[in-house]
Amino acid sequence: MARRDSALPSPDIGGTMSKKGKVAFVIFLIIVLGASVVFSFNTLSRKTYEFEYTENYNGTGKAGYVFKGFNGNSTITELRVGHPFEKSDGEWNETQGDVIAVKQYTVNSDEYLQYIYIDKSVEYIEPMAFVYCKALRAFYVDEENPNYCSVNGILYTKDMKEIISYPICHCTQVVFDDIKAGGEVTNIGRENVEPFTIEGKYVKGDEDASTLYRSFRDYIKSHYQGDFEYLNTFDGFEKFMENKVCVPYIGTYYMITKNGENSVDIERFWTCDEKYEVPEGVEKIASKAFYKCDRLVSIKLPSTVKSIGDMAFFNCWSTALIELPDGLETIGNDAFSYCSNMKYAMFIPASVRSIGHHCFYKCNEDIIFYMGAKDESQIELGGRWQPRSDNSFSAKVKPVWDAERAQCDEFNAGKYAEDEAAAAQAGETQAAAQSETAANGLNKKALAVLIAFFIPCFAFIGVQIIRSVFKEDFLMTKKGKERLAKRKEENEKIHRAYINGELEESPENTEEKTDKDEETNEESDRGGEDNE
Amino acid sequence: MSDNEKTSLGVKLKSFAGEFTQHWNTPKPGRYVPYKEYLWDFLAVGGDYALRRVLGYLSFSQWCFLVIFYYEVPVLTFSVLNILFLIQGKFWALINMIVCDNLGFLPKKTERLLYTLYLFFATLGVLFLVFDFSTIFSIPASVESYVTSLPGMNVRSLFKLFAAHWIAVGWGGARAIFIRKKWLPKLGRYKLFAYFNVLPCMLFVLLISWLPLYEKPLTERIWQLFLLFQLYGIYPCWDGAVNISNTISPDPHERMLVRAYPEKLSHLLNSILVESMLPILAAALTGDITNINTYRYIIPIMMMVCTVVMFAGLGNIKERIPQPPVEKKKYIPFWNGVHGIFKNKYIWINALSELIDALGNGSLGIKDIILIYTWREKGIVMVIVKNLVAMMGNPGAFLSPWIRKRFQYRTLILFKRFVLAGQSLGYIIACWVFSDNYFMSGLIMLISLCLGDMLNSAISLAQTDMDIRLKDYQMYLSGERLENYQGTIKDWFVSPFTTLISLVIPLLFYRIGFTSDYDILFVDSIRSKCMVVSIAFDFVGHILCCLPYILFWDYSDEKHKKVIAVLEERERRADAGATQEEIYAVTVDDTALRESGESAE
Repeated sequence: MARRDSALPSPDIGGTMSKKGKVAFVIFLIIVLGASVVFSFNTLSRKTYEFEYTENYNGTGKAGYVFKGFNGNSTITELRVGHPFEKSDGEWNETQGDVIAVKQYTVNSDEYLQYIYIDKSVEYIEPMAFVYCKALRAFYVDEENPNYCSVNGILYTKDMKEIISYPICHCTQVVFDDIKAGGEVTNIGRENVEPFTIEGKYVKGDEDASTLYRSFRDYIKSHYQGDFEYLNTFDGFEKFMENKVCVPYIGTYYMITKNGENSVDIERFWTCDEKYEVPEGVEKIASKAFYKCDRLVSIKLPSTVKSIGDMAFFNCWSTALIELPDGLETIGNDAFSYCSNMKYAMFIPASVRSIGHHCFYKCNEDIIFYMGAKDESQIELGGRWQPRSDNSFSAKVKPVWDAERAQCDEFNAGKYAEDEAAAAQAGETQAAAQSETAANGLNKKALAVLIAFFIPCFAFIGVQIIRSVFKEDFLMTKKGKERLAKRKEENEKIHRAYINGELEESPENTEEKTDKDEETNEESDRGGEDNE
Repeated sequence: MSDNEKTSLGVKLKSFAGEFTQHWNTPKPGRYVPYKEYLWDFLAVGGDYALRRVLGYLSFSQWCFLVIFYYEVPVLTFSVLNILFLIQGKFWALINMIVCDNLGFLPKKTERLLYTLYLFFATLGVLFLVFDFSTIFSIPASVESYVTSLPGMNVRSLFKLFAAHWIAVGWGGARAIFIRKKWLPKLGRYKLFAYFNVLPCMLFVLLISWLPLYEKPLTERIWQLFLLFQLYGIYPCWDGAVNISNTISPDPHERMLVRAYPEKLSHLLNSILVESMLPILAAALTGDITNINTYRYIIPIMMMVCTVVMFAGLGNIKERIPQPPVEKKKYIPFWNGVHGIFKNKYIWINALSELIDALGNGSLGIKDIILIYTWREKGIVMVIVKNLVAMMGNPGAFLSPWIRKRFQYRTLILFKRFVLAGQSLGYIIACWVFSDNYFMSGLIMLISLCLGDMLNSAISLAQTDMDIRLKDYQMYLSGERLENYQGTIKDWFVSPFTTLISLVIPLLFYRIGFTSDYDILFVDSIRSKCMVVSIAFDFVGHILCCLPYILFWDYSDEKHKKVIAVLEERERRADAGATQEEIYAVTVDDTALRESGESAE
């Protein structure tokens, strides 16, 4: 392609825009800036939420809708999967027709959903259809559904052979109707109780006169930011005063324990199930079934389990130890990754034929694996299935082959006992000292180093600033001052040469000039020496 | 090696060493920078570059570990604050570009007006900070209710947030005019703020990490932190040396030499101090980068080391933009500035190309994908691989002056885009063919990355060079470099569109199953799909964004020579005592005449 080289346009110094140009510029700018503001507000408020459906599930030609996308917001805490929703007049309304399938990753990383209802029409729920719903407490499946069911809010296949999804905030004590009834919820387990008192007056139906409401709101705002967005309306506050209990967020409860004339005593606590025992008969733990269920401290698997899916227990970091049953055959990729609370030893039964890659990634690197298999030839091991530290190239502890479960249990029991004894010995003094350091975050020696380092640095920088800005020869020796004067002189000479165009020379001339310069420099050097 | 070859090599080395010592203090004929200044540049730019990266750990945003993990500011707060100050920010940017691009030299009336405006807002800010206006004004319940519903805010803190913003803008703006006017003629346009800002900047770094703000309730903590960060933001002391280095000579080849050798080598300081030592020290002494003690001890010490190195060289490097003295410069009112920007077609060619390139925005960082999600290496392997990848560009960078001398910018930029497209193809092949083999897919991606970096590093330096040449061209057109006008006006027009285009990839990710939960990328199939989708867009973007260059770009080296000749002629005339009109009346023909006159002589 020929190079196009248009002429250089003339400079246009002092040129300005025409009136039309200015008007067009301002109008365009207003539109563009307006669009920016609208986009930003829209992103912030997320007032719209969406559903997405298709038809003809996987080309089967089956009549009915396929639920394939959901984008929720803080106002949507319940989701009904049964009839498709359609937008009319800016609102999503349930319409006729049946949802027959839910696609993979349809409800993903939602922060607000607490309950999901699945109707009888839903015949297929693809693996990982509901993933990482951070506030989810329970699934409810219509009893007439032919393929799926829920037991205590946990989603299973109808034959109870596969556990599909365990809600992250599962609470067996509380069911939805109880929460609606409000005041009746008094028998739930209470953990991490935080009592506080709020002062002020409550006048029913009068927001302005209710100073108690304002004080309550301010307190929650400054102490429990996460709960705040659910507790900041006066309507909600009135319901709370009426029911004496409210449930703002993820298994968190506020209960009024004493209602005085000018103050109320409130207790805040949360509860989520810490233990779960998978029922007997379940053969498969679906992929991501317990994904990031970080409240679960203990999970017990029945002897019937044969396969554990990919990422089934990913990031269950509170979970201490999962006993793998005899009869288990496969463990998926990343099945126990980030389960950092699992320590000591783990027994992998001889029945296990394959372990996925990175199966125990980021678990405790000291875990000893007691393998039921005789050697590596009997089991298919995925890449880097064992945990290792970030700075090492291989696992720290080699697996023990041809081991018995009893060996592993014995080792664990011994370790537990050791740890308990060590903890008791360490005593409270160390803990107190540690907590003090953590609270202050101050280390006197480090502070001294910091100050000692800063003083000369500040002095150096200060001198440089004064020299450059105020007095060029500040704190300079006589020699330094002479050098400075000489340098200034040289710079002036170079500047003059540049102004007179003497610096700009063609490369051919430059070489000749260099030779001449060298001669001149040599002469001047000699002259300099003579002078000295 | 034969004796002859040995002798010639020896002679060459000897002559190089001789030349080096001979021109240690005075520049080579035809050049502007003595070798001694290369050394100062090495120190100043090295310190500056590393300082910027150390202080990059501190910002009032969701990317700052201190703010998120220690002070526990909710992420949504930053979006709210952005919107709160969005319109005001545009207004202040508008004033700022008039002040900065006129180098602080404004007509008396405008100057008085701006001082009044800035000081009014500063005073208003102080009043709002001292008194609690939320109890003085009666706020409608609906407004109060809305404000309280915003994360980390109530009416009182909202007033304080505005106060913080106004104090920073008012005080910062007035101070900037004063300092520019008084000190810019002496210190030059780039380094003066390094001297005036360094001490307050350090003070605020210490205050941010040492003040016991954590104990305050969230609503109080947020405005107090915001105030500190706003004040910290008005005292930036970095980038001065880097900018001077870009204009260290009017000769573009010499600028490339400085950029390719002392400046490139000076980045070693950053690699050693910030990229390697800081994380190692944090891991060894404070435990983690999220630990408060990292910010109280390690970052201030690193900051101090970098600052000392920067100041060791800063005083001895000079900017050499051919220009008349500041007092003889022509004042550029707002509309003239806007007009100047619209006349510079190269800015808009770049903007168009950027707009098309935005197709690839939102795609995943390839190094993180390889190291964290494909190979899962976060420790020593990560450090080694990252450093290896960083080093891949060095040979190309060192050759950049030679390459730039032989090829026009347009050719280079087209080459770069095709290399990037090839690199994208490499990634796609890796993800597609080896989707089940995480080691091989990572390896092929890494090889593509290294090859691409190796081939493109010289061109990246050429791009920086072209940015400076474009400013030279702007100076030729409008009498000033209009750096702030360029950035602001281009951003006003381009950013809403790039934001929209940038939504494409995240929307596709959402379809695949990747939302805000990055752990999902550990799933091989999802990671591969995300990579293929985003890289395919990136690939199309690379190919399409060549079009504006192929069709419209004609800023050749010859043209730039003419531009510089005009700028130098203006400086000569100013030196000879010409009037402002005479200075700016210089055209290309005048310089041609002068050259022919000189040759006749």
